[in-house]
Amino acid sequence: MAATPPLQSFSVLHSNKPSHSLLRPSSNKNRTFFSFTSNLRCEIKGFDFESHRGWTIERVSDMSKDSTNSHTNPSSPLLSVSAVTSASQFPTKNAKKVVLFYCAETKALAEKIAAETDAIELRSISWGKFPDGFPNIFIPNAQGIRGMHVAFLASFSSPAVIFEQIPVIYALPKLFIASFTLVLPFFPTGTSERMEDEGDIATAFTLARLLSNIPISRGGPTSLVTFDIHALQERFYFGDNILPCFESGIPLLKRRLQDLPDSDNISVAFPDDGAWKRFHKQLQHFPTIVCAKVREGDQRIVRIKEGDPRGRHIVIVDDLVQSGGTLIECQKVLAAHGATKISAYVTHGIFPNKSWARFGHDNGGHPESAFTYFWITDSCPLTVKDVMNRPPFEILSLASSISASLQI
Amino acid sequence: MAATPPPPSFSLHSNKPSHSHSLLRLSSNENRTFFSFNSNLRCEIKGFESHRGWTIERVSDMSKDSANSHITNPSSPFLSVSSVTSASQFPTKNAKRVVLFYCPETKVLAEKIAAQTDSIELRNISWGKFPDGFPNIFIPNAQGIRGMHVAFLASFSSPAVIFEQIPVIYALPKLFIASFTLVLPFFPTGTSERMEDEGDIATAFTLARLLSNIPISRGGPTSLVTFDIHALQERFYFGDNILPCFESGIPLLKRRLQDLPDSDNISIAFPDDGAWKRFHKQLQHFPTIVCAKVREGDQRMVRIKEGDPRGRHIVIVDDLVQSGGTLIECQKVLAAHGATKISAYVTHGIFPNKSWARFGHDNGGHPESAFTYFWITDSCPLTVRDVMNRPPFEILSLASSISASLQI
Repeated sequence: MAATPPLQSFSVLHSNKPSHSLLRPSSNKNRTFFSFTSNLRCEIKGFDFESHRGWTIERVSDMSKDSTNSHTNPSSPLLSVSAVTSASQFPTKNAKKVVLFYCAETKALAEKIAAETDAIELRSISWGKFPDGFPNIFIPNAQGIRGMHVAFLASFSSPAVIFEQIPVIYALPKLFIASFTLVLPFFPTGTSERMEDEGDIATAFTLARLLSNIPISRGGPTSLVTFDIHALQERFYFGDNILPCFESGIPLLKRRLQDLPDSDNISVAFPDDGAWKRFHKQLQHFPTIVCAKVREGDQRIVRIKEGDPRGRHIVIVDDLVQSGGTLIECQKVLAAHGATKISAYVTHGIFPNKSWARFGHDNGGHPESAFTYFWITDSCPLTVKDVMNRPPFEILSLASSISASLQI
Repeated sequence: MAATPPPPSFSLHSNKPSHSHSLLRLSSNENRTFFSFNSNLRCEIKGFESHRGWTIERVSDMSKDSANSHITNPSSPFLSVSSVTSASQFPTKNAKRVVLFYCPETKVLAEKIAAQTDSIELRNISWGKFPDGFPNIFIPNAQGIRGMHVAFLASFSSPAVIFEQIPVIYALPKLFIASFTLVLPFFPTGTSERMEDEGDIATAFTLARLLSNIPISRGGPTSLVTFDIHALQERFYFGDNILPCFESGIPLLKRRLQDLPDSDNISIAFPDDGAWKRFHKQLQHFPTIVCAKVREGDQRMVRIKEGDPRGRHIVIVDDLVQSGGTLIECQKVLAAHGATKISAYVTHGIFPNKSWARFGHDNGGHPESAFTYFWITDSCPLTVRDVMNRPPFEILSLASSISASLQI
């Protein structure tokens, strides 16, 4: 019985291939894999030709990834070629099957992510509370995810929900899963992260510590997927026991800008140097305007540092918005300098205390007091619920980006 | 300058036996080492008097070290004798000076602790919030605590306040302090901690993980002081980077029972085997009654398993109370079996949703429907505020126990 599958793999699938040396390691890997993961044993009892074939191809892909990471493998070109060939022949089989858990706030986004591909399966968690207010949480069918790739879609919108989700995040990796990915679209932070005085406490750093201490699953450390993290220095907050994957919402904006009727008249404005540093490389095909906050006496005002908005449709780009004061100041200055239309994009629309209500919709000709469009992503579910179908707001979903990240 | 302090120390003890001389030589050497490491102490030994105190502290430290390590040390008896002698001669000088920080909920208890001794100094923290609801916290005069022993009095009464206090707990050890102690009188937990099914998530275990990951201060790992932890297994949740010190509120109860007019008629009742296992050794001087929950058909009721309450003043003892259902069931059964008075003691009065209101005061002759006394400690500050001056409740303060723990 054990001897049958490798032979099948060898003779049927690859007898016509030139790289016989590749086949021998592949076959060996199959044997090793077989002995380690008993969960797969029942899957190859049926001679179902197709699923067996898929299994072999996955192993080839894994080898290819390993060699790429290690950087020292003379067979690497052959492996890469083989993987590409395999992928093009059987595209759906190459997709990694992922079980995606979510919390109450992220249910809508999780459903969108699952709709992107058949490779992602949604599972729910029972979120309860004891009378004393502490979480009473249960993962149904926990044994059923053994050997599978697991992801959790988190939302840390307040201190209370962080403490509800941390126990789940710490528990999932220990359930004999193949890998664990934490998807945290918005990595939250208080605004002040400068540690200007000894005694300042950086909340984001503490959160990074909590995540760096996620137990390591049997398949290795947790991957953390997050979008447009606020301060560039925060990339260095994470320890070596977590693998942060920093993604961006800017590709969504660029795609959206191409669809505009005046897409050839767009200029991008950054409200400050920080936003410029963070995003200018991704948006270098657009004329750029950089604003700056300057101090005149006791007053802090926004001034155009470089660039010319005259006659253009300006899109102010930043990673997040809180009360929105900065964006509104920029809007006034840009309109005063001749912008014909003003829109805005932020990846994370935090808007505490319903501050999104400050942003009116410009239906034509009033750039100094309203916005033509205001794009946000769905990284902050509470805001999405508030501003849905309320111009000038428009939601650009991160679902496809997250779905792609889960295949890494 | 540097040469001056050791000689006076030596000559001061010239009347001691010869073995003490070797001790003094060693002590002198230790002094030099300590001096070169901790520049903060330099100014303190300019005066001759504080120098004496400094020497004595070192002797005490050595004595403790030898006791802890259990290494056979022929000088040990002399060390102990010397330490005792020193302590009796200069009691106030031996006390370790501790800076105690606290959170808003624990301010009252912190003030009581500081009132116990001159060696504890209170410092406050600025607890603010950003508009998005995340903590904006600042420790004033952070440089001023360098070289000092620091403690933080925490209260984890809800998931939200845990996340507010964790950043402080993670930040304090990094401020070049001599040692860090986290005082958490009540280690919170949901009630269910049995992991009966794969997929159950033990909240207390997650919290222990968070605390086990507190950064190590320059003076070593954090000490954690907690009282009457709920499940005995929770002692094993802590990793090696934290030093848990498990204390109990039972000594306070025993002292209080001695003051009662009918102190010779007291029997102790345990509502279940768990409470008996946890407390029976500390209360073995009292006649004991053990109750048990048994199932009759669909009904779960309380029955007396052993012991006789007839004619006695019964004190039901448990580590915590939530809604209080168990205590009330025990009360009924004990009264039905002839108890003349019924009181209760729990270390942690959680009482979610004002459930303390169920407990009436027995002013005489009604043990079946009310309690003579209901003692709780001040480990749950929210409850203390609610039940203050409301019979049958009486608060036994942990202040003296905590003050003593901070001297370890």
